[in-house]
Amino acid sequence: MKDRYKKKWLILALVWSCAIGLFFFNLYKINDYQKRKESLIVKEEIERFLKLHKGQLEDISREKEKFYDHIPNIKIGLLKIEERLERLLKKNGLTMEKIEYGGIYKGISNVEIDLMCNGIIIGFINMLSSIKKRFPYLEIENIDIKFTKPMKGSFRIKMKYNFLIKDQNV
Amino acid sequence: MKYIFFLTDKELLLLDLKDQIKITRQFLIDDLISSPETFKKEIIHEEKGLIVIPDYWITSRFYPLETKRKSIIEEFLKRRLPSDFPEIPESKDFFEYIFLKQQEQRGILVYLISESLFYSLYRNLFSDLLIEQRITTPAFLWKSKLSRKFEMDKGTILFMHIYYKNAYLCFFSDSCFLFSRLIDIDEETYINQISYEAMQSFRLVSQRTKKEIEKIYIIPKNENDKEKLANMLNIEVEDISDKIYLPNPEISLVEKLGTFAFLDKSDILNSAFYIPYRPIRRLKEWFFFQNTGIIVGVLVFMIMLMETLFFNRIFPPLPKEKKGKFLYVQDYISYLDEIISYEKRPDFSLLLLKILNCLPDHVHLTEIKIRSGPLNIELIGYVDSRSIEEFQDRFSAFLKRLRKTFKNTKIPGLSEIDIKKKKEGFGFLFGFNINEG
Repeated sequence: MKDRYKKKWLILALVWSCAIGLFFFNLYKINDYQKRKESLIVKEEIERFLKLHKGQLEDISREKEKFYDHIPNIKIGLLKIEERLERLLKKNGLTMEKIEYGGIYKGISNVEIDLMCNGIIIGFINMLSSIKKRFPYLEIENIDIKFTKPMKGSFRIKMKYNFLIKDQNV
Repeated sequence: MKYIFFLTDKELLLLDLKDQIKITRQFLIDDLISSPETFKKEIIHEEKGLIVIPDYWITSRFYPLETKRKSIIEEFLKRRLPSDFPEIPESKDFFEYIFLKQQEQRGILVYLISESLFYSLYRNLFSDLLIEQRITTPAFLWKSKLSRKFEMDKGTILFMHIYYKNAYLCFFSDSCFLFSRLIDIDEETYINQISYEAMQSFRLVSQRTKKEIEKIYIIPKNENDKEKLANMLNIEVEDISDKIYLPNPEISLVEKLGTFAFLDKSDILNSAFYIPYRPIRRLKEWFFFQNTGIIVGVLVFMIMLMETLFFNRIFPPLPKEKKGKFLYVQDYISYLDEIISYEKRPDFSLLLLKILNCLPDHVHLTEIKIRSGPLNIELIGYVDSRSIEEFQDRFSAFLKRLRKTFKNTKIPGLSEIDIKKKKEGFGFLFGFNINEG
């Protein structure tokens, strides 16, 4: 009888452990189902939103592309930008004195450019305007102007060159 | 229940209860004490048992107690009985009680086994088997049988059973068993014998209860026993032999079992009052909770299982998630941030034009520094003037124009500007933060 008494306690513990275990399992299942359902609803909403605003979203995507210069290689990119800036300076009657680049770091998609030039102030102002309009991937940070004569001087621009390496083989 | 254990001073009889009481085995007490193994082998599979012991192995004691709470009473008796009966310390495990009002005092009447032979037998035969034994006596069984038919609750009553060569006298007061006597009788003079013995016992009863015997229930041997005894004792005597069922046992059985042989199976099994072995009873009390717990547990488990099956079968399966879509939206959000930050970029060409437009005659700039982040402009230059008053007028005009052009910007006043005397006139240096593009 003593054994039966002990066995009964064991059976009781086992039955209740199973019942409680199953209760928590079901609770987990309910929560999981609810979470998955909610996340699906959110995703469906997003999908609907994406479908509905496909045109606008494509515009945004295109617009954003402008802020990065898509280049196959950073060196090519820097040479290209140097060429473009030289052309712009020339067009605005400015002379390039020096151009310097900051460090190139892995995982960072921008490079500091330090450009020094001289000429007339109006040409410099035109150049700044052109940079903003034509090269949105160049982000001007600082400007230093030193007037040597009235409306003439030496100019220094510090800007950030934003680029994206795009493998042309892909 | 397979067996009834009938104990006497010398023997233990195993009684079979199938149809009518039958003695199946007999053991001598001395043998049982010296080698109990044979006996144990036979009863080891039994879970319940009834032990019938002689009436005189039972003793009773009244304890005045106000409470009716079982746990308190049992705890009290567990401590009290060993001190009141030091010669039988095991009595704390073998007792039963009834609530009683004695001489206007509330309390409990405790029945316990006073015979030490019982305890040594129990230790030897049953203690390690954990069999739920119920211990009773012929008196308890007769009381239970009579209570079903007759008023036993109030008054002092004598139950008299005259059979074969014996007379069994059992005294009850307010339904409580007092004591019993077994008298060997003579065929011819037994009425005189019984009446003499009864008279002797009446004194004892009145001493113990302060009451006189009010009624005698008799199972007579002969038809005129009732009248004879009523006349001799001068007490109301009721013949109950026609009102209760009495089996007709064999003489050999009566010789061995005495008045117990005249009880039938239902009297023995349905008796409400017995002395339990308390540790096992306490253990057994948990059986209800165990069984209920298991049943409820199984039910809960089944419900949970059904719920699990319900989830698996009834709930519609959710479509698989399309990966990457959410990230795509995050990308659009970052694109928008970039577009907004582009729109917020300062127009440096416009700023320069605005500054140059503000310059009046005689005010010349030598340096302009523009820093983005919080947009800040620093201007260094000089004012072509001969006197400080002239400088003040010309420079104030410059500041005024600046204020007009940069409406939301705090342009510093003359007091905040660093001014130095120069060869060309008066030099100045100042800066301000711009809150507009």
